[in-house]
Amino acid sequence: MLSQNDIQQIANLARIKFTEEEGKKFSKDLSSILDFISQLKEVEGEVSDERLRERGVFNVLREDVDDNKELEGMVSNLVDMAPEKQNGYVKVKKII
Amino acid sequence: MDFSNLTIKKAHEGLVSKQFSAVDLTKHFLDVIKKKDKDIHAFLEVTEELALNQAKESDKKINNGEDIGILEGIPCAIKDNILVKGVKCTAGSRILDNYIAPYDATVVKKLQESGAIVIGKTNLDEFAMGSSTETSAFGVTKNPVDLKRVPGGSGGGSAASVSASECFYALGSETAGSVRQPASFCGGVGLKPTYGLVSRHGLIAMGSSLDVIGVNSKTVEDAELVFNVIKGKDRFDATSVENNKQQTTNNKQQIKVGVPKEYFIDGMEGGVERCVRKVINDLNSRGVEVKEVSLPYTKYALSSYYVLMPAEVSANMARYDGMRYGETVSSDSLLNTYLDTRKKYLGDEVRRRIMLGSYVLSEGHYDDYYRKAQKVRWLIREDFRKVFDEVDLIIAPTTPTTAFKFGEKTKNPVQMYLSDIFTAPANLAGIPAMSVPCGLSDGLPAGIQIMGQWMGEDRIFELGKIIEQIVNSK
Repeated sequence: MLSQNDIQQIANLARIKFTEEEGKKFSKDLSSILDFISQLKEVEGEVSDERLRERGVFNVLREDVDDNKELEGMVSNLVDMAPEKQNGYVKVKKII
Repeated sequence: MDFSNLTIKKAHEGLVSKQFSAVDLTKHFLDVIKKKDKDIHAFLEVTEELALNQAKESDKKINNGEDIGILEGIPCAIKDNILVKGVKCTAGSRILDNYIAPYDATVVKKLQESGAIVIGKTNLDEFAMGSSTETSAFGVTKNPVDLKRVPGGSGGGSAASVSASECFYALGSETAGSVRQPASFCGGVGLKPTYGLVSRHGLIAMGSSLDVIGVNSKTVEDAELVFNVIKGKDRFDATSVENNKQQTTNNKQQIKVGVPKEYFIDGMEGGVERCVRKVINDLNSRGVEVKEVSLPYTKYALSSYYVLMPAEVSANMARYDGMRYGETVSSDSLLNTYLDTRKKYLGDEVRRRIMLGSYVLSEGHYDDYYRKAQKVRWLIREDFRKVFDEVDLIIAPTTPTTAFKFGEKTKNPVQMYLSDIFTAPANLAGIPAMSVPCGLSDGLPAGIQIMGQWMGEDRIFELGKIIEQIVNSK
Protein backbone atom coordinates (compact mmCIF):
# COMPACT_ATOMS: atom_id res chain seq x y z
CA MET A 1 0.00 0.00 0.00
CA LEU A 2 1.43 3.37 -0.99
CA SER A 3 1.51 5.81 1.90
CA GLN A 4 0.37 9.41 1.67
CA ASN A 5 4.06 10.30 1.89
CA ASP A 6 4.96 8.08 -1.08
CA ILE A 7 2.18 9.67 -3.12
CA GLN A 8 3.29 13.16 -2.18
CA GLN A 9 6.89 12.38 -3.21
CA ILE A 10 5.80 11.01 -6.58
CA ALA A 11 3.49 13.95 -7.11
CA ASN A 12 6.32 16.39 -6.48
CA LEU A 13 8.51 14.63 -9.05
CA ALA A 14 5.72 14.67 -11.58
CA ARG A 15 4.65 18.25 -10.89
CA ILE A 16 1.18 17.06 -9.90
CA LYS A 17 -0.93 18.67 -7.19
CA PHE A 18 -4.24 17.49 -5.75
CA THR A 19 -6.66 18.06 -2.89
CA GLU A 20 -6.57 15.85 0.21
CA GLU A 21 -9.71 14.09 -1.00
CA GLU A 22 -8.12 13.39 -4.38
CA GLY A 23 -4.91 12.29 -2.64
CA LYS A 24 -6.73 9.58 -0.72
CA LYS A 25 -8.35 8.26 -3.90
CA PHE A 26 -5.07 8.35 -5.84
CA SER A 27 -3.37 6.47 -3.04
CA LYS A 28 -6.03 3.75 -3.12
CA ASP A 29 -6.11 3.52 -6.93
CA LEU A 30 -2.34 3.47 -7.39
CA SER A 31 -1.95 0.80 -4.72
CA SER A 32 -4.50 -1.40 -6.42
CA ILE A 33 -2.82 -0.89 -9.80
CA LEU A 34 0.61 -1.72 -8.33
CA ASP A 35 -0.92 -4.86 -6.82
CA PHE A 36 -2.09 -5.93 -10.23
CA ILE A 37 1.26 -5.12 -11.82
CA SER A 38 3.18 -7.04 -9.17
CA GLN A 39 2.38 -10.28 -11.02
CA LEU A 40 5.41 -9.35 -13.17
CA LYS A 41 7.51 -10.64 -10.26
CA GLU A 42 6.54 -14.16 -11.34
CA VAL A 43 8.65 -13.75 -14.45
CA GLU A 44 12.08 -14.35 -13.02
CA GLY A 45 15.46 -14.36 -14.71
CA GLU A 46 14.24 -15.34 -18.17
CA VAL A 47 15.79 -12.46 -20.03
CA SER A 48 19.28 -11.30 -19.15
CA ASP A 49 20.27 -7.66 -19.43
CA GLU A 50 22.62 -8.56 -22.30
CA ARG A 51 19.84 -10.21 -24.21
CA LEU A 52 17.77 -7.07 -23.77
CA ARG A 53 20.57 -4.97 -25.21
CA GLU A 54 20.79 -7.26 -28.24
CA ARG A 55 17.23 -6.42 -29.24
CA GLY A 56 18.36 -4.56 -32.28
CA VAL A 57 17.09 -1.19 -31.15
CA PHE A 58 19.19 1.58 -32.67
CA ASN A 59 19.16 5.34 -33.04
CA VAL A 60 18.02 6.90 -36.30
CA LEU A 61 20.00 10.02 -37.09
CA ARG A 62 20.11 12.47 -39.98
CA GLU A 63 22.56 15.10 -41.16
CA ASP A 64 22.31 18.31 -39.15
CA VAL A 65 21.35 20.35 -42.20
CA ASP A 66 18.56 22.93 -42.45
CA ASP A 67 16.78 21.88 -45.62
CA ASN A 68 13.28 22.31 -44.35
CA LYS A 69 11.65 24.72 -46.80
CA GLU A 70 8.24 23.51 -45.71
CA LEU A 71 8.96 24.58 -42.16
CA GLU A 72 9.54 28.22 -43.04
CA GLY A 73 7.65 30.47 -40.67
CA MET A 74 6.85 27.51 -38.45
CA VAL A 75 9.03 28.67 -35.56
CA SER A 76 7.24 31.99 -35.25
CA ASN A 77 3.86 30.22 -35.52
CA LEU A 78 4.83 27.94 -32.67
CA VAL A 79 6.25 30.68 -30.45
CA ASP A 80 3.05 32.62 -31.08
CA MET A 81 1.10 29.94 -29.29
CA ALA A 82 2.89 30.50 -26.00
CA PRO A 83 0.93 32.44 -23.37
CA GLU A 84 3.90 34.76 -22.89
CA LYS A 85 6.51 35.63 -25.48
CA GLN A 86 9.09 38.29 -26.22
CA ASN A 87 11.30 38.96 -29.25
CA GLY A 88 10.58 35.56 -30.78
CA TYR A 89 11.27 33.70 -27.55
CA VAL A 90 8.90 31.87 -25.24
CA LYS A 91 8.94 33.75 -21.96
CA VAL A 92 8.94 31.84 -18.68
CA LYS A 93 9.32 32.60 -15.01
CA LYS A 94 12.66 32.65 -13.30
CA ILE A 95 14.13 29.15 -13.22
CA ILE A 96 17.16 29.57 -11.05
CA MET B 1 -30.23 8.06 -52.41
CA ASP B 2 -29.16 5.92 -49.44
CA PHE B 3 -25.55 6.84 -49.00
CA SER B 4 -25.20 5.00 -45.69
CA ASN B 5 -24.72 1.61 -47.31
CA LEU B 6 -22.03 2.69 -49.73
CA THR B 7 -18.48 1.41 -49.49
CA ILE B 8 -15.63 3.69 -50.56
CA LYS B 9 -15.40 1.91 -53.95
CA LYS B 10 -19.14 2.24 -54.64
CA ALA B 11 -19.09 5.92 -53.65
CA HIS B 12 -16.07 6.45 -55.89
CA GLU B 13 -17.95 4.86 -58.81
CA GLY B 14 -20.92 7.10 -58.07
CA LEU B 15 -18.74 10.20 -58.14
CA VAL B 16 -16.91 9.22 -61.32
CA SER B 17 -20.15 8.38 -63.11
CA LYS B 18 -21.55 11.68 -61.85
CA GLN B 19 -24.54 10.00 -60.15
CA PHE B 20 -23.91 12.49 -57.37
CA SER B 21 -21.31 15.13 -56.61
CA ALA B 22 -18.78 15.35 -53.78
CA VAL B 23 -20.74 18.32 -52.45
CA ASP B 24 -23.95 16.20 -52.48
CA LEU B 25 -22.15 13.46 -50.59
CA THR B 26 -20.62 15.85 -48.06
CA LYS B 27 -23.90 17.68 -47.49
CA HIS B 28 -25.59 14.35 -46.85
CA PHE B 29 -23.14 13.38 -44.14
CA LEU B 30 -23.23 16.85 -42.57
CA ASP B 31 -27.02 16.39 -42.39
CA VAL B 32 -26.70 12.98 -40.76
CA ILE B 33 -24.36 14.49 -38.18
CA LYS B 34 -26.81 17.31 -37.51
CA LYS B 35 -29.61 14.79 -36.96
CA LYS B 36 -27.83 12.05 -35.05
CA ASP B 37 -24.86 13.56 -33.27
CA LYS B 38 -26.81 15.39 -30.60
CA ASP B 39 -27.62 11.92 -29.25
CA ILE B 40 -24.38 10.14 -30.05
CA HIS B 41 -21.82 12.93 -29.59
CA ALA B 42 -19.15 11.26 -31.69
CA PHE B 43 -17.87 14.66 -32.85
CA LEU B 44 -16.14 17.37 -30.84
CA GLU B 45 -15.84 19.60 -33.87
CA VAL B 46 -17.61 19.51 -37.23
CA THR B 47 -15.48 21.16 -39.91
CA GLU B 48 -18.34 22.11 -42.23
CA GLU B 49 -16.60 24.91 -44.12
CA LEU B 50 -13.38 22.97 -44.60
CA ALA B 51 -15.31 19.92 -45.81
CA LEU B 52 -17.46 21.82 -48.31
CA ASN B 53 -14.43 23.67 -49.69
CA GLN B 54 -12.60 20.37 -50.15
CA ALA B 55 -15.71 18.87 -51.78
CA LYS B 56 -15.92 21.77 -54.24
CA GLU B 57 -12.29 21.16 -55.22
CA SER B 58 -13.04 17.47 -55.79
CA ASP B 59 -16.06 18.33 -57.95
CA LYS B 60 -13.91 20.69 -60.04
CA LYS B 61 -11.53 17.83 -60.79
CA ILE B 62 -14.34 15.42 -61.63
CA ASN B 63 -16.09 17.94 -63.89
CA ASN B 64 -12.80 18.61 -65.69
CA GLY B 65 -12.64 14.93 -66.52
CA GLU B 66 -9.52 14.49 -64.38
CA ASP B 67 -8.68 11.05 -63.03
CA ILE B 68 -9.38 10.96 -59.31
CA GLY B 69 -7.95 8.71 -56.59
CA ILE B 70 -10.09 6.30 -54.68
CA LEU B 71 -10.43 8.54 -51.58
CA GLU B 72 -11.26 11.72 -53.49
CA GLY B 73 -14.51 13.34 -52.39
CA ILE B 74 -15.11 10.78 -49.64
CA PRO B 75 -15.95 12.23 -46.17
CA CYS B 76 -13.94 11.01 -43.19
CA ALA B 77 -13.40 11.95 -39.56
CA ILE B 78 -10.19 12.40 -37.60
CA LYS B 79 -9.68 11.50 -33.93
CA ASP B 80 -9.10 14.66 -31.94
CA ASN B 81 -5.51 13.78 -31.00
CA ILE B 82 -4.39 14.05 -34.64
CA LEU B 83 -3.60 17.54 -35.87
CA VAL B 84 -5.59 19.17 -38.67
CA LYS B 85 -4.12 22.59 -39.42
CA GLY B 86 -6.26 25.53 -38.39
CA VAL B 87 -8.72 23.31 -36.50
CA LYS B 88 -8.98 23.05 -32.74
CA CYS B 89 -7.25 19.93 -31.39
CA THR B 90 -8.06 19.11 -27.77
CA ALA B 91 -6.98 15.47 -27.23
CA GLY B 92 -10.20 15.35 -25.18
CA SER B 93 -8.57 17.53 -22.55
CA ARG B 94 -9.35 20.94 -21.09
CA ILE B 95 -5.66 21.80 -21.17
CA LEU B 96 -5.86 22.06 -24.97
CA ASP B 97 -9.30 23.63 -25.12
CA ASN B 98 -7.80 26.74 -26.69
CA TYR B 99 -5.30 24.99 -28.95
CA ILE B 100 -5.54 25.46 -32.72
CA ALA B 101 -3.31 23.04 -34.62
CA PRO B 102 -0.44 24.92 -36.33
CA TYR B 103 0.26 22.16 -38.84
CA ASP B 104 -1.24 19.03 -40.37
CA ALA B 105 -0.29 15.57 -39.21
CA THR B 106 1.46 13.71 -42.03
CA VAL B 107 -1.47 11.30 -42.34
CA VAL B 108 -3.88 14.23 -42.68
CA LYS B 109 -1.64 15.79 -45.34
CA LYS B 110 -1.63 12.51 -47.25
CA LEU B 111 -5.40 12.20 -47.02
CA GLN B 112 -5.91 15.76 -48.21
CA GLU B 113 -3.50 15.26 -51.10
CA SER B 114 -5.64 12.31 -52.09
CA GLY B 115 -8.75 14.50 -52.01
CA ALA B 116 -10.31 13.18 -48.80
CA ILE B 117 -13.01 15.34 -47.18
CA VAL B 118 -12.31 15.94 -43.47
CA ILE B 119 -15.73 16.36 -41.93
CA GLY B 120 -14.79 16.67 -38.26
CA LYS B 121 -12.76 15.70 -35.17
CA THR B 122 -13.97 12.84 -33.05
CA ASN B 123 -14.22 12.38 -29.30
CA LEU B 124 -11.77 10.33 -27.24
CA ASP B 125 -10.78 9.55 -23.68
CA GLU B 126 -8.58 12.35 -22.38
CA PHE B 127 -5.15 12.09 -24.06
CA ALA B 128 -6.26 8.69 -25.34
CA MET B 129 -6.16 7.24 -21.83
CA GLY B 130 -9.11 4.97 -21.40
CA SER B 131 -11.24 2.18 -22.81
CA SER B 132 -14.67 3.76 -22.89
CA THR B 133 -14.41 7.46 -23.92
CA GLU B 134 -15.81 8.25 -20.46
CA THR B 135 -12.78 10.30 -19.43
CA SER B 136 -13.20 12.88 -22.20
CA ALA B 137 -13.38 16.35 -20.68
CA PHE B 138 -16.13 17.20 -23.16
CA GLY B 139 -18.73 14.55 -22.45
CA VAL B 140 -19.16 10.91 -23.38
CA THR B 141 -19.87 9.38 -26.76
CA LYS B 142 -22.72 6.88 -26.94
CA ASN B 143 -22.61 3.55 -28.73
CA PRO B 144 -24.95 3.92 -31.75
CA VAL B 145 -26.02 0.28 -31.33
CA ASP B 146 -27.24 0.92 -27.77
CA LEU B 147 -27.17 4.48 -26.43
CA LYS B 148 -26.93 3.29 -22.82
CA ARG B 149 -23.60 1.69 -23.57
CA VAL B 150 -20.09 2.90 -24.18
CA PRO B 151 -18.66 2.88 -27.69
CA GLY B 152 -15.34 1.70 -26.29
CA GLY B 153 -12.18 3.75 -26.06
CA SER B 154 -10.09 5.62 -26.30
CA GLY B 155 -11.30 6.16 -29.88
CA GLY B 156 -15.02 5.84 -29.20
CA GLY B 157 -15.87 8.85 -31.35
CA SER B 158 -14.13 7.44 -34.42
CA ALA B 159 -15.80 4.04 -34.15
CA ALA B 160 -19.21 5.54 -33.34
CA SER B 161 -19.09 8.03 -36.22
CA VAL B 162 -18.57 5.16 -38.68
CA SER B 163 -21.14 2.93 -37.00
CA ALA B 164 -23.72 5.73 -37.15
CA SER B 165 -22.91 6.31 -40.83
CA GLU B 166 -21.80 9.87 -40.11
CA CYS B 167 -18.76 9.32 -42.37
CA PHE B 168 -17.16 6.53 -44.39
CA TYR B 169 -14.12 6.03 -42.23
CA ALA B 170 -12.25 7.66 -39.38
CA LEU B 171 -8.62 7.81 -38.39
CA GLY B 172 -7.88 6.78 -34.84
CA SER B 173 -4.89 5.89 -32.72
CA GLU B 174 -3.94 2.88 -30.65
CA THR B 175 -1.63 2.31 -27.73
CA ALA B 176 -3.37 -0.86 -26.48
CA GLY B 177 -6.44 -1.37 -28.60
CA SER B 178 -8.03 2.07 -28.85
CA VAL B 179 -9.05 1.46 -32.48
CA ARG B 180 -9.84 -2.25 -32.33
CA GLN B 181 -11.80 -2.37 -29.08
CA PRO B 182 -14.26 0.42 -30.05
CA ALA B 183 -14.58 -1.17 -33.50
CA SER B 184 -15.53 -4.42 -31.79
CA PHE B 185 -18.03 -2.67 -29.49
CA CYS B 186 -19.67 -0.69 -32.31
CA GLY B 187 -19.80 -3.43 -34.94
CA GLY B 188 -17.18 -2.07 -37.33
CA VAL B 189 -13.72 -2.81 -38.63
CA GLY B 190 -10.70 -1.47 -36.75
CA LEU B 191 -7.18 -1.67 -38.18
CA LYS B 192 -3.96 -1.33 -36.19
CA PRO B 193 -1.00 -1.18 -38.59
CA THR B 194 2.52 -2.43 -37.89
CA TYR B 195 4.38 0.03 -35.65
CA GLY B 196 6.38 2.30 -37.94
CA LEU B 197 4.41 1.86 -41.15
CA VAL B 198 2.26 4.94 -40.57
CA SER B 199 3.88 8.22 -39.54
CA ARG B 200 3.08 9.51 -36.07
CA HIS B 201 4.06 13.08 -36.93
CA GLY B 202 1.11 15.19 -35.80
CA LEU B 203 -0.30 12.53 -33.47
CA ILE B 204 -0.37 13.84 -29.91
CA ALA B 205 1.96 11.38 -28.21
CA MET B 206 0.88 9.13 -25.39
CA GLY B 207 3.25 6.11 -25.31
CA SER B 208 5.73 6.67 -28.10
CA SER B 209 6.96 3.09 -28.44
CA LEU B 210 3.38 1.82 -28.58
CA ASP B 211 1.30 4.50 -30.38
CA VAL B 212 0.14 3.87 -33.91
CA ILE B 213 -2.43 5.60 -36.12
CA GLY B 214 -5.20 3.26 -37.28
CA VAL B 215 -8.43 3.19 -39.22
CA ASN B 216 -12.08 2.63 -38.26
CA SER B 217 -14.26 1.65 -41.21
CA LYS B 218 -17.30 -0.40 -42.19
CA THR B 219 -15.51 -2.93 -44.35
CA VAL B 220 -12.10 -4.56 -44.57
CA GLU B 221 -11.64 -3.25 -48.11
CA ASP B 222 -12.29 0.32 -46.95
CA ALA B 223 -9.66 -0.02 -44.21
CA GLU B 224 -7.21 -1.38 -46.76
CA LEU B 225 -7.80 1.51 -49.17
CA VAL B 226 -7.21 4.10 -46.46
CA PHE B 227 -4.15 2.25 -45.09
CA ASN B 228 -2.56 2.28 -48.53
CA VAL B 229 -2.85 6.08 -48.65
CA ILE B 230 -1.68 6.91 -45.12
CA LYS B 231 1.26 4.52 -44.85
CA GLY B 232 4.82 5.40 -45.72
CA LYS B 233 8.18 6.42 -44.30
CA ASP B 234 8.21 10.05 -43.17
CA ARG B 235 11.28 12.15 -42.45
CA PHE B 236 9.36 13.85 -39.63
CA ASP B 237 8.92 10.54 -37.78
CA ALA B 238 12.24 8.86 -37.07
CA THR B 239 10.46 5.67 -36.04
CA SER B 240 8.71 5.29 -39.38
CA VAL B 241 9.90 2.70 -41.90
CA GLU B 242 9.19 1.69 -45.46
CA ASN B 243 7.40 -1.61 -45.96
CA ASN B 244 10.13 -3.79 -47.39
CA LYS B 245 8.33 -7.09 -46.92
CA GLN B 246 7.49 -9.16 -49.96
CA GLN B 247 3.76 -9.13 -50.62
CA THR B 248 2.39 -12.65 -50.27
CA THR B 249 -1.15 -12.43 -51.62
CA ASN B 250 -0.10 -13.51 -55.09
CA ASN B 251 1.25 -16.63 -53.52
CA LYS B 252 -1.61 -19.11 -53.74
CA GLN B 253 -0.41 -20.94 -50.68
CA GLN B 254 -3.08 -21.83 -48.21
CA ILE B 255 -3.35 -19.42 -45.28
CA LYS B 256 -2.34 -21.03 -42.00
CA VAL B 257 -4.05 -19.61 -38.94
CA GLY B 258 -3.26 -20.16 -35.26
CA VAL B 259 -5.80 -19.94 -32.46
CA PRO B 260 -3.99 -19.13 -29.19
CA LYS B 261 -5.44 -20.97 -26.23
CA GLU B 262 -4.51 -18.13 -23.86
CA TYR B 263 -7.13 -15.87 -25.45
CA PHE B 264 -10.10 -17.92 -24.26
CA ILE B 265 -10.31 -17.21 -20.56
CA ASP B 266 -12.66 -17.73 -17.64
CA GLY B 267 -14.96 -14.83 -17.18
CA MET B 268 -15.17 -13.86 -20.83
CA GLU B 269 -18.68 -13.43 -22.22
CA GLY B 270 -20.08 -16.73 -23.50
CA GLY B 271 -21.76 -15.07 -26.48
CA VAL B 272 -18.49 -13.50 -27.61
CA GLU B 273 -16.66 -16.82 -27.43
CA ARG B 274 -19.47 -18.53 -29.37
CA CYS B 275 -19.36 -15.94 -32.18
CA VAL B 276 -15.60 -16.24 -32.49
CA ARG B 277 -15.54 -20.04 -32.43
CA LYS B 278 -18.31 -20.19 -35.06
CA VAL B 279 -16.12 -18.21 -37.45
CA ILE B 280 -13.07 -20.33 -36.65
CA ASN B 281 -15.03 -23.51 -37.37
CA ASP B 282 -16.11 -22.21 -40.76
CA LEU B 283 -12.61 -21.31 -41.85
CA ASN B 284 -11.66 -24.87 -42.75
CA SER B 285 -14.41 -25.06 -45.35
CA ARG B 286 -13.00 -21.87 -46.89
CA GLY B 287 -9.57 -23.31 -47.54
CA VAL B 288 -7.92 -21.96 -44.41
CA GLU B 289 -5.86 -24.27 -42.24
CA VAL B 290 -6.51 -23.74 -38.52
CA LYS B 291 -4.48 -25.07 -35.61
CA GLU B 292 -4.12 -24.38 -31.91
CA VAL B 293 -1.04 -22.43 -30.84
CA SER B 294 0.31 -21.04 -27.60
CA LEU B 295 1.51 -17.59 -26.58
CA PRO B 296 2.59 -18.41 -23.01
CA TYR B 297 3.43 -14.89 -21.82
CA THR B 298 0.04 -13.43 -22.81
CA LYS B 299 -1.13 -13.17 -19.22
CA TYR B 300 1.68 -10.74 -18.39
CA ALA B 301 0.97 -8.42 -21.31
CA LEU B 302 -1.38 -6.10 -19.50
CA SER B 303 0.88 -5.65 -16.45
CA SER B 304 3.87 -5.04 -18.66
CA TYR B 305 1.80 -2.49 -20.58
CA TYR B 306 0.67 -0.75 -17.39
CA VAL B 307 4.29 -0.18 -16.45
CA LEU B 308 5.77 0.80 -19.82
CA MET B 309 2.92 2.99 -21.02
CA PRO B 310 2.62 5.16 -17.87
CA ALA B 311 6.42 5.52 -17.87
CA GLU B 312 6.28 6.94 -21.40
CA VAL B 313 3.18 8.95 -20.55
CA SER B 314 4.95 10.62 -17.62
CA ALA B 315 7.56 11.88 -20.06
CA ASN B 316 5.16 12.81 -22.86
CA MET B 317 2.83 14.74 -20.56
CA ALA B 318 5.63 16.92 -19.19
CA ARG B 319 5.12 19.34 -22.07
CA TYR B 320 1.68 20.33 -20.73
CA ASP B 321 3.14 22.85 -18.33
CA GLY B 322 1.35 26.07 -19.21
CA MET B 323 4.49 27.47 -20.85
CA ARG B 324 4.36 26.74 -24.58
CA TYR B 325 0.73 26.37 -25.65
CA GLY B 326 -2.62 25.41 -24.23
CA GLU B 327 -4.20 26.71 -21.08
CA THR B 328 -2.18 28.17 -18.27
CA VAL B 329 -2.71 29.31 -14.69
CA SER B 330 -0.43 32.24 -14.04
CA SER B 331 1.18 31.84 -10.67
CA ASP B 332 3.80 33.44 -8.45
CA SER B 333 6.58 30.99 -9.29
CA LEU B 334 7.57 28.63 -12.07
CA LEU B 335 6.85 25.55 -9.96
CA ASN B 336 3.43 26.82 -8.96
CA THR B 337 2.57 27.59 -12.56
CA TYR B 338 3.31 23.94 -13.39
CA LEU B 339 1.39 22.63 -10.39
CA ASP B 340 -1.64 24.89 -10.73
CA THR B 341 -1.95 24.53 -14.50
CA ARG B 342 -1.75 20.75 -14.40
CA LYS B 343 -4.06 20.45 -11.41
CA LYS B 344 -6.73 22.62 -12.98
CA TYR B 345 -6.67 21.27 -16.50
CA LEU B 346 -5.62 17.61 -16.40
CA GLY B 347 -8.17 14.95 -15.49
CA ASP B 348 -7.86 12.16 -12.91
CA GLU B 349 -6.87 9.32 -15.21
CA VAL B 350 -4.14 11.40 -16.79
CA ARG B 351 -2.73 12.41 -13.41
CA ARG B 352 -2.96 8.81 -12.20
CA ARG B 353 -0.91 7.53 -15.10
CA ILE B 354 1.67 10.31 -14.84
CA MET B 355 2.22 9.43 -11.19
CA LEU B 356 2.32 5.69 -11.86
CA GLY B 357 4.89 6.31 -14.58
CA SER B 358 7.03 8.52 -12.37
CA TYR B 359 6.93 5.86 -9.67
CA VAL B 360 8.01 2.94 -11.86
CA LEU B 361 10.90 4.98 -13.24
CA SER B 362 12.08 6.27 -9.89
CA GLU B 363 15.16 5.14 -7.99
CA GLY B 364 14.59 1.93 -6.11
CA HIS B 365 11.70 0.91 -8.34
CA TYR B 366 13.15 1.11 -11.84
CA ASP B 367 14.55 -2.43 -11.84
CA ASP B 368 11.53 -4.09 -10.27
CA TYR B 369 9.05 -2.44 -12.56
CA TYR B 370 10.39 -0.77 -15.68
CA ARG B 371 13.30 -3.05 -16.48
CA LYS B 372 11.21 -6.11 -15.63
CA ALA B 373 8.37 -4.91 -17.87
CA GLN B 374 10.84 -4.37 -20.74
CA LYS B 375 11.97 -7.98 -20.38
CA VAL B 376 8.40 -9.24 -20.37
CA ARG B 377 7.72 -7.16 -23.46
CA TRP B 378 10.63 -8.87 -25.19
CA LEU B 379 9.28 -12.29 -24.15
CA ILE B 380 5.83 -11.45 -25.56
CA ARG B 381 7.41 -10.40 -28.84
CA GLU B 382 9.35 -13.67 -28.91
CA ASP B 383 6.10 -15.61 -28.32
CA PHE B 384 4.71 -14.09 -31.51
CA ARG B 385 7.95 -14.58 -33.47
CA LYS B 386 7.94 -18.30 -32.63
CA VAL B 387 4.28 -18.79 -33.49
CA PHE B 388 4.73 -16.99 -36.82
CA ASP B 389 7.22 -19.71 -37.74
CA GLU B 390 4.27 -22.12 -37.74
CA VAL B 391 1.38 -19.95 -38.95
CA ASP B 392 0.79 -16.80 -41.04
CA LEU B 393 -1.88 -15.25 -38.86
CA ILE B 394 -3.34 -15.51 -35.37
CA ILE B 395 -7.04 -15.08 -34.64
CA ALA B 396 -8.68 -14.44 -31.30
CA PRO B 397 -11.51 -12.45 -29.74
CA THR B 398 -10.86 -8.69 -29.75
CA THR B 399 -12.37 -8.13 -26.30
CA PRO B 400 -13.59 -10.41 -23.50
CA THR B 401 -17.05 -8.77 -23.47
CA THR B 402 -19.40 -6.71 -25.59
CA ALA B 403 -19.99 -3.00 -24.88
CA PHE B 404 -20.60 -2.37 -21.17
CA LYS B 405 -22.93 0.25 -19.68
CA PHE B 406 -21.82 3.74 -18.70
CA GLY B 407 -20.34 3.87 -15.21
CA GLU B 408 -20.00 0.09 -15.04
CA LYS B 409 -16.20 0.06 -14.89
CA THR B 410 -15.30 3.51 -13.62
CA LYS B 411 -15.09 2.74 -9.91
CA ASN B 412 -11.97 0.61 -10.09
CA PRO B 413 -9.26 1.50 -12.64
CA VAL B 414 -8.03 -2.09 -12.93
CA GLN B 415 -11.52 -3.24 -14.02
CA MET B 416 -11.37 -0.77 -16.90
CA TYR B 417 -7.80 -1.75 -17.82
CA LEU B 418 -8.87 -5.40 -18.21
CA SER B 419 -10.88 -4.46 -21.34
CA ASP B 420 -7.55 -4.31 -23.17
CA ILE B 421 -6.40 -7.77 -22.14
CA PHE B 422 -6.57 -9.20 -25.69
CA THR B 423 -5.54 -6.08 -27.58
CA ALA B 424 -2.45 -4.95 -25.65
CA PRO B 425 -0.15 -7.79 -26.80
CA ALA B 426 -0.18 -6.62 -30.43
CA ASN B 427 0.88 -3.12 -29.38
CA LEU B 428 3.67 -4.45 -27.18
CA ALA B 429 4.95 -6.58 -30.04
CA GLY B 430 4.44 -3.91 -32.72
CA ILE B 431 2.58 -6.34 -34.98
CA PRO B 432 -0.42 -5.39 -37.11
CA ALA B 433 -3.93 -6.46 -36.08
CA MET B 434 -7.46 -5.88 -37.27
CA SER B 435 -10.82 -6.38 -35.59
CA VAL B 436 -13.68 -7.56 -37.80
CA PRO B 437 -17.33 -7.89 -36.69
CA CYS B 438 -18.22 -11.55 -36.16
CA GLY B 439 -21.82 -11.58 -35.03
CA LEU B 440 -23.97 -10.52 -32.10
CA SER B 441 -23.96 -11.63 -28.50
CA ASP B 442 -27.29 -10.76 -26.85
CA GLY B 443 -27.89 -8.18 -29.55
CA LEU B 444 -24.51 -6.48 -29.12
CA PRO B 445 -21.63 -6.63 -31.62
CA ALA B 446 -18.73 -9.01 -31.02
CA GLY B 447 -15.37 -8.67 -32.75
CA ILE B 448 -12.77 -11.17 -33.88
CA GLN B 449 -9.22 -9.95 -34.35
CA ILE B 450 -6.60 -11.06 -36.82
CA MET B 451 -2.98 -10.53 -35.81
CA GLY B 452 -0.26 -10.73 -38.42
CA GLN B 453 3.47 -10.70 -38.84
CA TRP B 454 5.36 -7.43 -38.83
CA MET B 455 4.41 -5.69 -42.11
CA GLY B 456 2.02 -8.55 -42.90
CA GLU B 457 -1.09 -6.40 -43.42
CA ASP B 458 -1.77 -7.93 -46.83
CA ARG B 459 -2.50 -11.34 -45.33
CA ILE B 460 -4.63 -9.74 -42.65
CA PHE B 461 -6.79 -8.08 -45.31
CA GLU B 462 -7.04 -11.37 -47.18
CA LEU B 463 -8.34 -13.27 -44.15
CA GLY B 464 -10.49 -10.33 -43.10
CA LYS B 465 -12.39 -10.47 -46.37
CA ILE B 466 -12.92 -14.22 -45.98
CA ILE B 467 -14.30 -13.68 -42.46
CA GLU B 468 -16.60 -10.93 -43.75
CA GLN B 469 -18.02 -13.41 -46.25
CA ILE B 470 -18.54 -15.99 -43.52
CA VAL B 471 -20.26 -13.55 -41.18
CA ASN B 472 -22.40 -11.90 -43.87
CA SER B 473 -23.60 -15.23 -45.21
CA LYS B 474 -25.23 -16.18 -41.89
